[in-house]
Formats: sequence, C-alpha cells, structure tokens
Amino acid sequence: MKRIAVTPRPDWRDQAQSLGFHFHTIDGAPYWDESAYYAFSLKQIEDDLEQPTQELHDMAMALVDEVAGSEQLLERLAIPPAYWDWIADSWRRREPHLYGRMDLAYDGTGPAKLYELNYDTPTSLYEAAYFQWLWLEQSVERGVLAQSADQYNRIQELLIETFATLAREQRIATPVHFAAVEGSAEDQGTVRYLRDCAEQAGVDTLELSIEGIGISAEGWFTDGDDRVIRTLFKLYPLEWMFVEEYGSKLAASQMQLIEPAWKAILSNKGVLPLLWQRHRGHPNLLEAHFDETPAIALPPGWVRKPLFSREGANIELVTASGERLSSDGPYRDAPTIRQAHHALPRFDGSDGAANYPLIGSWVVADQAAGIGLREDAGPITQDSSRFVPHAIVD
Amino acid sequence: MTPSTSKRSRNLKLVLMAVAVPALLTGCEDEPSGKVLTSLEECKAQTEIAPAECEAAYYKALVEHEKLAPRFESERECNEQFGACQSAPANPTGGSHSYMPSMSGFLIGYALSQAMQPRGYYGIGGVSPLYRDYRSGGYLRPGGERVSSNSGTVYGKYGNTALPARAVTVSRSGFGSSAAARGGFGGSSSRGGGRGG
Repeated sequence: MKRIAVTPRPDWRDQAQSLGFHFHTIDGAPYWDESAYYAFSLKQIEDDLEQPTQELHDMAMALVDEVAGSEQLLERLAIPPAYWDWIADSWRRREPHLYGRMDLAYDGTGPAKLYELNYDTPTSLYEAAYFQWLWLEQSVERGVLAQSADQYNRIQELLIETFATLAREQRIATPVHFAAVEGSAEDQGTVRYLRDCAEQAGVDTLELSIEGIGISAEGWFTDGDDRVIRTLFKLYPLEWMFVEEYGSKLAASQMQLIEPAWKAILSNKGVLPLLWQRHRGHPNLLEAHFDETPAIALPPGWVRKPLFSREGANIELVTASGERLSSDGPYRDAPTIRQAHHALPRFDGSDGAANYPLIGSWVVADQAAGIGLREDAGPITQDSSRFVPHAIVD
Repeated sequence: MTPSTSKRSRNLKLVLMAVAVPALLTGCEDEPSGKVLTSLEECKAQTEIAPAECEAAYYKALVEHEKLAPRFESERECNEQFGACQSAPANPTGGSHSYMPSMSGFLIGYALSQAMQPRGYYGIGGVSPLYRDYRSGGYLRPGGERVSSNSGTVYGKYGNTALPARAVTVSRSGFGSSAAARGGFGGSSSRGGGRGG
C-alpha cells in the first residue's frame, strides 16, 4: 500500500458537473482529490480487506439474529421498547437490505481493524462506486496507469443487480420512493445516484424529501401527490425517525423501509462491544466495552463513542502517550462505549504533508463489494476529509 | 492480471445523473404472482391455494373493501363505472362521497418465497378487494390500478397487493425535525461518520 502523487485529469471538474457530482467541492474546500491515489497489491485487497469485510459482515448479521430476539440486548443498545416488536418482525421476515459501509484502519500490513459499521445511512457512495471507477478507467486510457491496473470496486454493479433481484422477486413495491433531507447537496446526490442504479435495473423510482413525507387518515404515508409510499429508501437515521412525530405510525403503515427496521441494531455503536464479547481477540476487531462510567476521565489508549453518534460527533480520544482529542456534537446525553485506540496510518505526501487514510469497505446485499478511501490531514477523520481514489497495481 | 480476474466492474454508466439520458431497460415479468377470484365458491374449485386460506383471504378482502372501496358523490356516477353500487358507511376522511361499488372480486397475492415453488399450494402474501370496471371490463384495485381483464392467474407486478396507490394526505413533515434541530444530517458534515480512534 503506497500513496502515489499523480497529475489530476485536467477536465475532472467538468466531468463531475456533467455527471451529477455537485459536491466534489464542499464549502470551498476540495472533497474529491485526485492529486494522489493509493496503490494496493491484489493480495492486500483480497486477503486483508475483502475477505475480512465478508467475515465481519457475517459476524454482524449473526449478531442481528441474536439481538433481534433478546429484549435484554435491545435494551443494552438503548433502542426504544416501542420499536422492539417491529424490529424483531422486520428481521423475522428478513426484510431486504441494500448496503452498508464499514470503516477500517489499515496500513498495508497486518490485519485491518474495524472502527465502526455505518449500516443505516452510509454516504460517500457515489464517489466510491462510480466516480472513482471512472478515474481508474480514464487513467488507464490516458496512460497514467498501466493497462494492467485494476480497482477493487464492484459496488455499482452489485447495487444494480440487487435492485433487479428485489424487483424480480417482488420484494420491493414500485415505484420506489427515495428521500433525503432538504438542502443537502451531498445527501441528494447520494439518493439520486441510488435512484440511477434502480432505474438501470428497470425499477421505477420517485424522489421526495424526508420533510415532504405526509400521512393519510388511515395511517398510510404519502408523497406530495397523495401517492401512497409503499417502499421508501430513506437516507435518514432510523433512530431519528423513532423519536419524531410519525415514528409511532411506522409499524402499522405497512411502508417498507430501506434500510429496513432491523438495521437499527447495526447502526448502533453498541455492536462493537457485543462483537468483541462474542469474538474476543479476533484479529480484525478492536477491544470494546460498554462504558459503565461515562463521567470518569478516559485512560490513555481508549476512545469513547456515543451509541448513536454520526459523522464522528462527540468522540473523545486519549492516545497511548496521553494526548487528548475530542470532537463536539449533539449527542451529549446518550450512553457511550469505549474502544481501544488504534491510530490511523500516516502516509506523507510528496510535499511533506501528513495524510491519514481511513478505508470505507462496502457491502452490498451481503457481499463485500469494494472500497473508498477518505483521508485527512490529522489523525482523526473529520469533516475536512477528502476522498482519494485507489488502484490495484500488482 | 487478466480481465477474468478483474476486481472491478466493466462498462458502468449513469442514466439519471448524467446529462444525456439513454433509454431504460425493463425486466420481464413472467412469474405467477397471484390470482384473481370472483367469489367465495371459486375457492373450492381451484388448486393453487389451500381452500381454507383462500376462504380466509376472501373475508379479509371484504374487511379491506369496507375501508378502501372507491367512493362517489352520486349513485349514478358509481353505477356507470361499476354497477351494483350502494350507500357507503361514514367516510373516515369526512366528505360527501357516500356511494361505493360492491366488491366484485378479490386478488390473492402469492408469498414471494413461494412464487418459485410450483409444487403444492402457494402461500398468501396479501389480499386486495377488486372492482369490475364496466367501461373497460377489467378488475381494478381500490386505488384504480388495473390488475387483470379476467379472473385467474396474474403475473409479475400485478400480484402485488401491498397498499392502495393513493390516499388523502392529512398532515406532512412528521419526519425531519431531528435534522433541523441538529443543523442537518447532510451537508458538509455527512461524510459518513468514520473517525480515527
């Protein structure tokens, strides 16, 4: 695994604009960054990333099976009791799911370590699945990369295949409604991309905003044209829906959610200590525990994360040498977990600047599908992280 | 490395996001997905669904019919399309639409896991009342979607009994308040939640 500086394609911005990638630059800061790429060997990809991703995913799914049937564990994960039956039922019926992303720390040697699962509302999908692929194809075409260069990326292919299968087996109702919050170019881009995949699979789609969802007197959810929403892909956290006005209407509405209700179990950091309890010492897991003493200062070598934090909010970290780092955020009152601190690797650029990459490893319908890397100038992946493409070069 | 062992997909494209939009492909739909029956008696005369389950489905469709049947302001208008119209129970959404057609059939949707197993009986995935439209001669679901022009097996999406197509919205914006309260779920902060540590 190497970080290799490379000349960006001169026209990449125009291409991004014409391909719906409107968030390549966010608040004036570059997000898509092709001034470098990460080079892997095939062995690194297959042995250290693909295979462990599959194994971790299978472990996570076995855990869902256990948690869905245990009130004690559902309580441990702070999932509201009013939703337990609905979640258990959603799992019992094996309601279809589409995708998830796990974040891995990996430096090219030794086992990748699981930081966390993003299995309900994962983002950075379009850039990993499509724009990164386009970069590889054009880089080979333009002679920047060798003809033999490859990329670990079947994400879009598997997304389309999954939509086609769900439609063929009538496990989704069409048209499928897709919803993201108003006013987020990034979320809307992600949802538009998933619609694109669905349409390519022959599935009719409609789009609306999360805020635009309505309800009828009978308790059916509706769109702006009074169409009943039968299948809803929502890029919106399940645990937020639980505590909002319409949350109590979900179970009776018969509306199918993607990601489904049972994903509430996996979008919860509590799965990290549960996985550790069941697979203590697994090479791809970091030691983790439920935090019984959240008020006590964290000892060196540990990270504290709220059960429901997103986007790296409210994280507290103390390195082995005692350096304290923390991030602010809205998740102040939630229960927390502790995870052993495992530093991100550092790859210095040709300009001498430090870069810390985090690997997002995608799973589509239970199959390890590909990776995307986000890198940051600091040892904690933050809002300022950039998406950097990767290639397999030997 | 040869193409056969490639770790990446070949020939990806975009159809919605790209500025130029090529034509879409559509899948074929030739799996039996349900059955249209016109009476309780037909339950005894068919072999795809267990007779007792078929009868239970009929009564379930009747209950749905009470709730979902299309409603009309005038009896004449209702009879023109469906015939055999009658006074409707009080409308849950209010309004003056007080006539509705009789249920002239019912749709049994096959359970998905079973649609692949042609041996034995199909499991039931769902039920919907149906109305015979005199003008077109087809069986319609309460929301107006056409299921079939005659009784018997239906294929593909027509066996989908999930929900009506339309309903009167009485409120909106019951989701999204958390995003507003937290300054949004999306935007520059939704890079996916990964964080070193």
